[in-house]
Amino acid sequence: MTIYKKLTYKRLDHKVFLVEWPPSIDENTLEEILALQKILYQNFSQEIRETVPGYHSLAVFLKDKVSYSEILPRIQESIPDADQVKITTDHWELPVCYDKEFGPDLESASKHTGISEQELVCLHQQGTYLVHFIGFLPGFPYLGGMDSRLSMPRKKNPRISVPAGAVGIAGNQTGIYPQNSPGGWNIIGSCPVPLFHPNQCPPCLLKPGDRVHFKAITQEEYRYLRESPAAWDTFKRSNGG
Amino acid sequence: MVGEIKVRKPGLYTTVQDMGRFGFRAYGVPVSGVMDTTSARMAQALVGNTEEEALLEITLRGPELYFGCTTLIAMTGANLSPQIDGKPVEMYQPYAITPGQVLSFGKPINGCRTYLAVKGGFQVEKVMDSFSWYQPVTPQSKLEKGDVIDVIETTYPHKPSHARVAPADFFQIQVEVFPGPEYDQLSKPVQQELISRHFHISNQAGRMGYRLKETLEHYQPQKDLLTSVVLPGTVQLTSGGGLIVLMRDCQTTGGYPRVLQLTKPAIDILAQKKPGDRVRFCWPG
Repeated sequence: MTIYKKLTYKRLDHKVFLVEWPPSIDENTLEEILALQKILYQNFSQEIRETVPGYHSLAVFLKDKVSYSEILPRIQESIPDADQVKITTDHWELPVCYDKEFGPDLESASKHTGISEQELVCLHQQGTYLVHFIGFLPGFPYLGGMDSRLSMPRKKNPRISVPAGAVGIAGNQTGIYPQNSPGGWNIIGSCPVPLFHPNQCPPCLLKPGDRVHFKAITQEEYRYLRESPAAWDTFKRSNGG
Repeated sequence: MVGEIKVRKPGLYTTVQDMGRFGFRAYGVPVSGVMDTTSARMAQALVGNTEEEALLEITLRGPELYFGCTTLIAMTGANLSPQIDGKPVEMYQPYAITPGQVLSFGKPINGCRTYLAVKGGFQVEKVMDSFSWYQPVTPQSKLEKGDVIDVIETTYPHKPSHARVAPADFFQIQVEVFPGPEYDQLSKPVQQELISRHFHISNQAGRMGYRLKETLEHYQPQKDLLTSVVLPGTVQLTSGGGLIVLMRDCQTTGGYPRVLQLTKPAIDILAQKKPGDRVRFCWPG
């Protein structure tokens, strides 16, 4: 871990500042962000209200009584500790039904990429996706690692409502809509496992650093899984460590 | 004793709010909470509540509420012509309600959002440490016709109160800002334009954010940012040169340059602006 030396600090507000890594979407940056996040929660739990990761940043929210200029040097001193931190992550195999009924944009996606619908679905399943952070909507995972052959622009006319569970592609990213919302992603399938539960702790199925695989299922399996909350935990494949 | 308030008409956009939902941004959960914290705090204080209680945020066209019990209420913020049993009532002072009375609203006179506090707070479910309504965190996003909300019945008679506070200043068009993290990346003419001109609030203005009507003439789009945190009060510059001021229900992360950040009092001022109103960004002076 050497990028730690290149950190910059920017203020967002009186009580909020950003720790920024050089702009890049990569695994090392993610590891460093998560390690620093853990150190901050360990060493400054009385002073920090919450932290929010982005692709190459960690936003730090200070409690009201804490001053930025006072805490910053102490945070910088503790950064070397982050080198020793071990982050626990999980590996998921999430079921996705890629049938036409759930993937209204499969046909246009196939036309755009020049890849047959079947092969497109195959490529999408072959990827190992890294959860960089959760944002945009409650429980929405920003996933990295999509095959560049699957890249396609957002839809010109966003849908007024994309259903919860919809699996989509926009630009170089793939993602799952955790709830009904307007959206411009190209929808190629649907995942029956809910990603967000307001009454559970933690409320999100996935967390930054987790890895996700997609596995095709039939419509029958999809309907069964939707109604079977007991089965949802079984999609965790391993503790990646 | 628990009493009830029945919703006869929901109004344009009436929500239950508190000071916000903190500690869950890393799960993509917006902060929510009252848009105009200053007015909301005053309403709570007038009925003797702490600021943690739930109150109603009423937008432009108010609801019609039937009170089934004795309670004490206060309204602050926008003047939407409140009436009790059809008679106009004063805002910014506590008002004793007897069972069977009806609170309704008329024409918007000034501002955009009224805060209605009841003694003891509206009794709604707390989800993720907050009463603030935001779907899908809470089951409901706004008040609907026929809703019933519990309140705590006050059994003692309320003496007339002389407590009053000064109303919000709805004529203030200056909103104080600090440079955002990407402000320095803007060219000098764009920086100047941001601070020197007036902007109007467009029709796309709500609890998530306010889109401004004007676009920046001199702005040359840069490449998108890698997604990073945004806050209520963050001013985003879209690729077309448009500006969006994010508000309390805004998403937790975004990809547009964050060019300005409103101060907390500035967010309160903007929360009382409605489509067509004018604002001007200024440095704290």
